[in-house]
Amino acid sequence: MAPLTDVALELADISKTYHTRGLKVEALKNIDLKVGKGEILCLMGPSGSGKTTLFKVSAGLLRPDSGRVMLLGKELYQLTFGERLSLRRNLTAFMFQEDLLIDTLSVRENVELPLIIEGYPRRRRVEFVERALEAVGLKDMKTRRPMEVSGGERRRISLARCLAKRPEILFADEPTSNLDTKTASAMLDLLKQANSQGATIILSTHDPLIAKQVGNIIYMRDGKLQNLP
Amino acid sequence: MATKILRPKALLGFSLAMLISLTTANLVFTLFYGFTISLTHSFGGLGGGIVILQEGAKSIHTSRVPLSLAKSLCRLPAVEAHAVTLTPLTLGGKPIVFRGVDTLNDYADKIVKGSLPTEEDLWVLLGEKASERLGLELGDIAVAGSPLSPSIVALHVAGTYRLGDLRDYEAVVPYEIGAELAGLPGGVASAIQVDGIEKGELESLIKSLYTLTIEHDAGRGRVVVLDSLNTPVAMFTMEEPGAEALQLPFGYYTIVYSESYLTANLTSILLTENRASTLRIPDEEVFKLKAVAPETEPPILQLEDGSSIQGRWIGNAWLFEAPRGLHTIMFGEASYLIPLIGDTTFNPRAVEEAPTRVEIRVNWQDGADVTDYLISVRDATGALLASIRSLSPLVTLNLPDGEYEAEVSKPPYLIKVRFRVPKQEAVTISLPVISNPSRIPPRLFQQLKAVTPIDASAATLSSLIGLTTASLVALMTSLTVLSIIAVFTVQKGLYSSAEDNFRVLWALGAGKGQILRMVWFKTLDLNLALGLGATYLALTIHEHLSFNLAFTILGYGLQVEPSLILTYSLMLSIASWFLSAAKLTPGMDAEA
Repeated sequence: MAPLTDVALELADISKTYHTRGLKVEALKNIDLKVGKGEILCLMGPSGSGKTTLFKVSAGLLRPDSGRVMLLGKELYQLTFGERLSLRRNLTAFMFQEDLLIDTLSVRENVELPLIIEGYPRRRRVEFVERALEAVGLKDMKTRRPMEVSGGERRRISLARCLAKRPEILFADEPTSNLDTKTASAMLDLLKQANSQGATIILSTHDPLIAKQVGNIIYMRDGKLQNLP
Repeated sequence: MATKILRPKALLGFSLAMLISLTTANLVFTLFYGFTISLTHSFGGLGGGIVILQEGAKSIHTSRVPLSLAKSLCRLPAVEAHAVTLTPLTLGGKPIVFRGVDTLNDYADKIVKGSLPTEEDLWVLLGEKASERLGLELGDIAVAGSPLSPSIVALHVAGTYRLGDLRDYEAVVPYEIGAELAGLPGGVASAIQVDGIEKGELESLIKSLYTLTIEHDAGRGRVVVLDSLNTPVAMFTMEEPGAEALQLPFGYYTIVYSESYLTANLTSILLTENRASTLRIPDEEVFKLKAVAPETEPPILQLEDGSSIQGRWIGNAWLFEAPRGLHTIMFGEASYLIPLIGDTTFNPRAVEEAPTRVEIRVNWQDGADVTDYLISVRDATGALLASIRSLSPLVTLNLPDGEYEAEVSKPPYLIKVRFRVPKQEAVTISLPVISNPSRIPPRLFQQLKAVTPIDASAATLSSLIGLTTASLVALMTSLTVLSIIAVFTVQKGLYSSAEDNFRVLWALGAGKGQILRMVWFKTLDLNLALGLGATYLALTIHEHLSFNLAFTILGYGLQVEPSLILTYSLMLSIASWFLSAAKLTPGMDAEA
């Protein structure tokens, strides 16, 4: 584990409730959490426990009902929309549970997309994409379309897209879901490798074996954090 | 990258749908707009100008305006005015618009086949498109018919012309034939085209009534005011010295003194403001009559009242002094009527040995015979050669070669016609026929309006399709808005199909501005390309499906202007592109 020198993410008294068709679902209940820079943290809990909501709130994708989010030293929801977008674009990466790959783009173009958004020049984009694809072992598949690869490879493309931009903090929502044990383990290794290169990694899983491999675990159930299951 | 973020199938569907939408919109739009523009050419000619129509008339085809106005307007400095008739008729059994014209200036250098008709005849000039549509060629003879008039006329095709506007779908005939086919009463035209005067000035001129005050002495006869077509518009008897105030519209009027068979022009006035005219016709005035005859054969002048006077030999003729009147001069057994309204030279000997026999026919404009009138013939020097009171419409004279003026006096009409001998051995003089003559011109004048060719064409188009001008504008606006909505909807569909991809971009940190730059800006090229494609497609459809034949309204085809289609296509494609930006990043800020 990388040394804890500073705070990457701090959640204070975060609550979020969804109102759907007259139903009130409390997804997050007074959450307090602190993650240090360079740390790798595993958020474990069953489906519906609020992990994805917590990730979205933490990454600036979903405004909480109450509470304070400090991301890399900045109070996230006190920033303007543009400032928050800029912080999210330049310093963080989000590996979505559903991959969110664009099927009409090639593997290389999907990985390149955040770099285009961030405004990297073409030469550097090519270099970073090559390095990221090499890191996840998909260098030979860069001209394929996402539809033409396996589920595990799609996850790796998604990870490569996150790693290409060298984020300071990476949110990986269920990165090993729907993967066999061997592939899941390989994915975890890639995340650990990124962590070893300085990135703060916060990942979620409902698989105890994966959580155990990470080591630094926080349990979540019914919208609340618990130290032990 | 932009086109890859959008789905290829959606992109293809979008392109096809846009092409169809833009092309359809173009075809519908140009059907109306192009037709209006072409109709404008038809009204104003290529030079524009102003059109005088009847107020309340739905179109030029049903408009009635006084023909005298055209001739009066020509008296204004630098103003040119031409009466026209435009009537939907059939020629050879197919519908076509007939244009009756009093000048062929517009067609002079536009003849494609044949030549400009120079003689009065039953000719028709066909526009190039009309010739194709009717299947008539140079030299063919076809029957023109009219639902408005019982007239049926056989016309021979004297030529075809190409003007490059809607008039190429018309048939051009002499004004008189156009008026007859249109069933127009005498002295009435469908419209008048005017150049050289501002619309406001013209409207104020033709809509006003002016006071013409005529001061006069006592006299035996009447004063008649004739308009520019020699139609009496006012008349009064001079019983006591005084003044008559007449309310008349703008026009060129001739004030005529009229007494039994004696008629004399006193003065002419272009009435553009309130005017006063003083007429002095002293009863006791005496005029000189110089009768050319040998000294050995003295003529005798018998006055109107039955008394006779003898002349005085002045070396080359006999001189009489007599009051105004219709007198009789006798040379031996021969006698002649002499209308004495001024100093006159009478030379009957000039015609005695003349070699050329000239027939002069006098009839009313509707062709009926005129009987009981006085006809005088003067030579180029003004000398009276013959003066006859005729009960027959036909008068025969022997005249030496030269130029002559025949004057028919049929109170209140006084018509003069010039002719040349031996070139013209048959001369026809027509007197105007107007029922209720003292009322028609003023009644028409009060109903006139001066409009631009655009307004005239809009009014006509609206009457053709049964809509008012306001609803036509509303229809055009609706069509334009619907077109924009249609292409916008298509474009929105394109972006909707890629909505998930935009959300990915947003999740990866792209803001609205960035997504617009990455996707929206790049699709402008595509939209412009589609606009150009739709222009090409619309023009091709026009060309290949021969819309000129398929879409004819009252014989007119559809004029298509490529620049109009191009402008409209690009306007629609850019408008839809612009509006679609709102659809590109829906709800992203709100979610954040």
